[in-house]
Formats: sequence, structure tokens, C-alpha cells
Amino acid sequence: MTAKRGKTVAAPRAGDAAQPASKGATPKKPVTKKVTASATKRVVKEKVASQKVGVAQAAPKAKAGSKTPAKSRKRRPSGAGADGQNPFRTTMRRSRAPEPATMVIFGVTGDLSRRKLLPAVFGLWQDGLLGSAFNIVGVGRQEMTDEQFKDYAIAALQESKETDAIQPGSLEKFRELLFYEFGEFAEDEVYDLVGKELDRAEQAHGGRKNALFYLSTPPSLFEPISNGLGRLGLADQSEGWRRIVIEKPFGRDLESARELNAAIHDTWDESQVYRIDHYLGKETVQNLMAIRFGNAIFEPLWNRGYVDHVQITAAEDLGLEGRAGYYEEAGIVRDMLQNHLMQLFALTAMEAPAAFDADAIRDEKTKVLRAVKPIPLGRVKEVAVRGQYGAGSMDGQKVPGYQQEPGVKTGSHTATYVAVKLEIDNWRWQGVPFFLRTGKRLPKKVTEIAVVFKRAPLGIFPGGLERNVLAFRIQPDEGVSLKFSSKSPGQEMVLREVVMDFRYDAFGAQLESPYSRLILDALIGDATLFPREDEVDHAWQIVSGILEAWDVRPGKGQTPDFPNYAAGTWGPEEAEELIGEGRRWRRL
Amino acid sequence: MTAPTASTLGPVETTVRKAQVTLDELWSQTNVETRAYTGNIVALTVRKHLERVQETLAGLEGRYAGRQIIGVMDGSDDLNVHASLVSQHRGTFVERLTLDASADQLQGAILPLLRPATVNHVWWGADTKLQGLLLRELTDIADQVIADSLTLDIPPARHYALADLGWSRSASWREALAQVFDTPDAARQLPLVDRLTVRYAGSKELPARLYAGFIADTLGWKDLRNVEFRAARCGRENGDLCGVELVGDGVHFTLAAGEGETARVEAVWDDKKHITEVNVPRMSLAEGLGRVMARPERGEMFERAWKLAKATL
Repeated sequence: MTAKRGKTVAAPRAGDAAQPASKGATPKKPVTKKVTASATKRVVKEKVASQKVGVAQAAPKAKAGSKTPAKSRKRRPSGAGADGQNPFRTTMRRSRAPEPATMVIFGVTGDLSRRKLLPAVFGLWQDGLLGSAFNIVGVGRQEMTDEQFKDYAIAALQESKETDAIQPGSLEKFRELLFYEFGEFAEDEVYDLVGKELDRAEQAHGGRKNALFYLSTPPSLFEPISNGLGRLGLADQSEGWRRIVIEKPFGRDLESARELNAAIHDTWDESQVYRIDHYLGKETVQNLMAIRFGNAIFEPLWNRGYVDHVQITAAEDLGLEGRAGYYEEAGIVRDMLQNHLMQLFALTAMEAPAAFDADAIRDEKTKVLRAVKPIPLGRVKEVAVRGQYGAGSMDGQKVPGYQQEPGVKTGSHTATYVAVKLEIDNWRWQGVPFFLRTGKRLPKKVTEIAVVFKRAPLGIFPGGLERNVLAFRIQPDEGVSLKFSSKSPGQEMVLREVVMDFRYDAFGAQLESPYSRLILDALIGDATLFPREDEVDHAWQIVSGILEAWDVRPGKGQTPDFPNYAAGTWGPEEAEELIGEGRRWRRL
Repeated sequence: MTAPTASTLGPVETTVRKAQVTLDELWSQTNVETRAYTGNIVALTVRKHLERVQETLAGLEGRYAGRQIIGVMDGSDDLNVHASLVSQHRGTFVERLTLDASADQLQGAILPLLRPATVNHVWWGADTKLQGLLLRELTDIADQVIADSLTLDIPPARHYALADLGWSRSASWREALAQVFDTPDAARQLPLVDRLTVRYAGSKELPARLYAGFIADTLGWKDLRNVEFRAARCGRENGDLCGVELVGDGVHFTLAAGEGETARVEAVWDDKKHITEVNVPRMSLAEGLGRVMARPERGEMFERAWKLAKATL
């Protein structure tokens, strides 16, 4: 459709007139899920109360979708498919596939959508993984016709480095799946138009009106959009499943995260909410679970008896790349530590789940996050180090310091580096510190989890004993390596460290974009790789003291002299003290 | 594994005993620092198919098998061995040993050349019947035997995974058909389906029979009596499918290969017609081979489909 829409009620599309009026085509009641203010308050109160004591929330039962009655006048014999289950799926390699659905991307003209989401969805579609009836409805505030949006999306696919090799004719076909609506997110009209898009998809393809709403917008719009979808009844699952994907940051501190959770839950059941952390979509992050729980040899060593400490590093070589506005507000703790690093930490430290399913895995992650020794204001100095980069040199080029980056306030206290020591109060990890560090303008882009084992109890060979290290390289050069000591060739019994290396590229397969995996999971309804409400809550609890010390009370004499590390170095000196005597950060 | 581009090194004439040394010498000419041994693939063939086998293995890009051993079985008792490092994308290499001899000679030559403690795939890339000591020895050590199972009359066995390339290459058609019935409304029409037509490209109809066996078994049919096979032209290569039609009282589901990698789906039930399009990617022989090696699809479904298909021959 190319007719201009937006503020006016959408005209019926070609073919619509021949179809019987659907429920969505009639004027909607403003709210189909009626929630009284007192009921809402009660639910929120209960939820917040339970969060305070750290109780994992059992998701309330989703409203059962009313089954579409069989409309046929004919008698139907029983047999495969009679129950509405697809018998062809039961024996297939991918036993679940998305049902026909519409993916609605709010903020579709944004950077994330252009560079990551559209290429990921295109890749899935081109690989035949999105089913026979799939549409994308882009939603934005920018006025555009369908045709203009199609041009925009195709250009984005052609420009993005993330786009898979484009097969001849694919773009033209994919173009046909794209539609666009625009309007103000605070008003009802745009959601009404989205509802009509779902009606149209249903009429075109049959089936139910399944929809995945992806909020690729600034965080300030999460609540208005969630509420708007709720007001227009688009969260109601009686005509098909409805799910909402929310990008990070999920809140800017513990309190705002809880408020946002409460606001989201006014409209959505927890089972409909998919908080995305793209680190969990990375192959090598999933491989961490595969190696831990798919092999017998590691688990016996994975405890305080053998492990000296664990280092988790997420280093970035880039600076702000024009994102000063966001970064000045967020800083490294909200941008990386509270979400990505905390997820890597939880996967490394958690107990073996009872099954590889969403609840079992998220239960274990939540348990270990709960077991982290709290970091109140008074402990921050002891367990956390922050930094901000100054001018330096990277790859032979001089680069400016953080405060010289365009858009950064003079005298900014925003941290671009954080190192933190987490201690876990449980039987497995008592006394084993986990050191997490992340920063910008570090010497190279590398993400790694290193499990550093204790030294052998007795040295019977000349020279010192080295520690064994099992390292998971998340990016780049994805793989796993084990460092151990071996005899050097020669007449003397001299040992030296050697590395046994597994590289992921030995599989010869190109790694998929984490977004494609996560989008497919959300469409299928598998929330295993999406942080649950209580996980996010506990992750915020862990960093709350740090944020308070560094952001809320920066003038209490705790602010170091920023900048305190030069671009192109591994961070401030204080980080070396944090890791302690007899240990050192890995040189990556 | 650092060189951005590289050319194939070899072939260099060698012997079974010196093969590893020859390969090491070739490796030393590369900038490769680490080697990953992901598996062995032994491809048994005859001269007239050698080129096709070599092309297919080259297209495999070393995935899941870092060493390729090609046994050309219609040679003499004089064993000829050639070693090469076949260049791949991103500066990687695959070891290839090509042996030309009689089947008896090959039996004694191939086994010592297998990289130990890794996965062994055996691909019967010939149209003769699998038999003899060579095959028996290889199936003993094989984790997977890949062959055209209907032509060669190899029943699925329990001691190794049997993979059929025709079955593997029709995976995208199975997925496409499944997508049509992901809608519960469409799935509810399946008990009404009582006839099936499968259209295949070229002259090779065996993959169509396996595909029909898959559908028939899923629908609970005891045989393929109500199935019709038709040769068709749809621009796809020999061994691929062109479409499928499921018909019953008041219901009709058709998938027809369209342009490029798509198939048009027309579904009729409750007097309503639903038209959509699904992606049905073409799968080359190399891609099909890579697929079965990546995740062997041994399964009861294949075995049941095989039995139904075999009964029609």
C-alpha cells in the first residue's frame, strides 16, 4: 500500500473489501484487558515486595488463547493433525518453527534496526525459517509510505555488513513482506493502525493474528509503547499470541527497572515479555553451556576446590562513535556491566540446570545472582575500580580522550572502564573471586571468560608452578583454549606453558548473527536466552551500590582524577590492585 | 589460519607410509599455525565419477572433515597415492589424499590413513552395489555411511548412521510442507487428505519416493498406493523436487517451485483459498553432503519413509 496514512484512518487495502469484516476492522474498545487501579496496585505491591526478598517470581498463567473453532461444515475424521498440532513437525530436526506471524518493529528507522534487526530477519527469511506467512510492519514517527519504507529497508539490507549473501530475487520477494505505519507513540492512532495491519495479515494468510512487537526505541518510549499496545488490546492473546521484545537498557537503576517492570506487567504477562541481551545470542556464549554441561570432565573441577578465580573481560577498542548523548547518561556500568557481563557471569557460575529449557536455566542464573555478596555503598571502594580514558594512541593513530569526544560534558565523571570483584556466597564458589572488567578504548576488542585453576599443591620440578587456565573466547577468534604445563624438549626436566586450542572456525561455518537466533527464539516462544524479570532485578541489585557511589554521590571525595588511563592501555592502575597479590589480569 | 587467500598445494605423489610426512611438508609451506582435525571423509568412487566427487568435496569447504580420502576403486593392483592441501575460504586448508587402486588394495591402504579419534564419514560415490571386504572394513569404523540408499538397496542399519543424499537434499521441501501446516486450522484439514502427487525435476525419482514416504507415514498411510509421481520441469537440478500436492475431500494443498528459491503455496479448505510463498532453498550435492555430515539425520522417520518408498520399487 502506498497511500498516505498516519493521522487518518487507514483505507482498506486491495482485497480487503472482499473479506468479511474482522474483529479488528470494527472500532475497538479502548481497553480490552480491563485492569482496575486497585488491582494494579495490589499486583505491583506484591511483585515489588517479593522482589525485595529476592524471591523468583513464578510467572502467572498466561491468558489462555481461545481456540479458533473449526469452521468447516464437513465431518472431520480423526487422524494426524486433527488436534490442530502439526504432525510434520514432530519428527523434524527443528521440531518447532514459528507460526505465521507479524513482526512489528517500533523504531524501525533507528540505527539498531537498520544495521542489525532487518539483516537478521532477512537472513532468517531467506533461509526459509520464518514460515509461509510472515510480515514485517515497521513503525516510526517519521512519515513514510509503504513504498518509501520498502526502499529504505532494502537499502539498509544492501548497506549492512550483517546481511547474508543475497540470493538472486530475494530482495524483491522480501520487499513484499514489508509495511509501514507512523504516528505519535503517545497516541492511540498508531496502535490502531498496527491492529489493522494484523487484521490484514490474518485475511491474507489465514491463521491467527500472532504478533511479535520489537521495541527498538530509546528506553523512554518502552512504557508509552507498552501502554499504547495494551490500551488498544494488542497484548490480548485471544486472537493469537502476542509477545514484546524490549531492548536494553532495562531501566537505569534498580528503582526505575522495577517501575518499568511493573508498568510492563500492567499490560503483559511475564511469559509474553522478552528482554533481549544480544550477548546471549552469541554462539560462543551458548557454547559455554554446551561445554560445561555436555562434558563430564569439566564439572568436577568447576568449584572452589580447583578454581582459584575467574576473569571475565569485555574489552572494546572503540570510543564513543558519536553516542555521547547516550553514554553520558548510561556510563559503562549500565551499558555493559549490569547486563552483558552479569549474564556471562551467571552462565559461568550457575549450577547445572535440570533441563535445557527457559525456566530451568533462568532459575539457576537467578539463584547464583542472588548468592552474590551484596555491594553496599561502603564496600564499593574495596571491590570496584572505575576509569575514564584520556588521549592516547591506538593502532598507530592518536585518539582523543573521553572528555574531548564530541558531545561529552567538560569535567564529565562518566566512567568508561569498570573492574569489579564479585564473591558468591554458596557452597560451590565460597572464597573464589570473580573479576569482571570492561572498558572502552582498551587495546583490542576481545571478550573472554577465563577460569583460572589453582596451582598444583606441590612443585616437584624445577621452576615455579603455573596455573592452568580454561579460556572461552567469546569474540573474536571464537573458541576455547586450555593452558597447561608440558616438558620442554631437552635433557633437563624443564616445564613450560603450552596451549591446547579449539577454534570455532574449525567448523567452517559462518557464525550467525546473535539477533537472528534471538528473534527466531522469540517468534517460536522460547525464552531460554532472554533474561527474566528476576534476573534483571538481581543484576541491578548487584550494581546498585556502585551506581550510588559513582553517580548519585560523585562529590563525596570518591571521584578519581579522570582521566586515569590512556586510550590504548588496559585500564587504570587500581585494577591491578583489585585483582590482588599473586594474580594478574590476563594479557589478551 | 591466517592467510587471506591461498592456492591449493599439490597434488604430490606419495605412498601410504609417507603420506603424513608429505602432508606435513605441504603444511609447512602455508602460514597456518593451528590445524583442527574435525573428521575424516572417505569417498569411494570410480573414475567416471571422480571429477564430480572432487568437485563436491571441494564445495564441502572442509566443514566437519579436515581430511578427505578419495578411493578410486577401478584401478589396478598398483596403488597410486597423491596428497594435496586444498585451499578453502579464509586461508584454511583441507587435507586430501587420493588413492587409485583396486578395491582390495584400497582396503589395506585407506585404514592407516584415517586420522584417529575423530568422526569417520564414508560416502559411497559410485553407482555400483556396496559390497566386499573394503566396505565391511569401512562400515566397521564408520560413524556414518552416506549413500543413495534406494538404488543401492542398503537398508538402514543400527551399527552406523545411514544418510541418504536424496533425503537430505529434500529437507527444504519437508520444512516448506511443515510450514504450511504450522497453522492449526490447516493442520486440522490433514485427516481429509487422501491423495498425493509428488513432482520431481530431471529423471531421478527416488528422492520423490522418499519424500512421499515421509508424507504418507506422517499421515498414517500404510503404503504409497494413493501417491502419483510425475516428472516435471521447474528449473531445478536432477534429484531435486518440483512440487507436491495433497488432495482430499474439500481440501487441497499445493506447493509448486517458483522463481529462484521459492515455492508458491495454494491451500484450499472451508471453500477459502490461501495463497502464500515459502522459501525452498536449492541444495547442491556439496550442500547436501555438508548437511548430513553436520548433523546426521538418522531417525525413525527416515527409516519408515525408506520402507514405504522401497516397497514401491
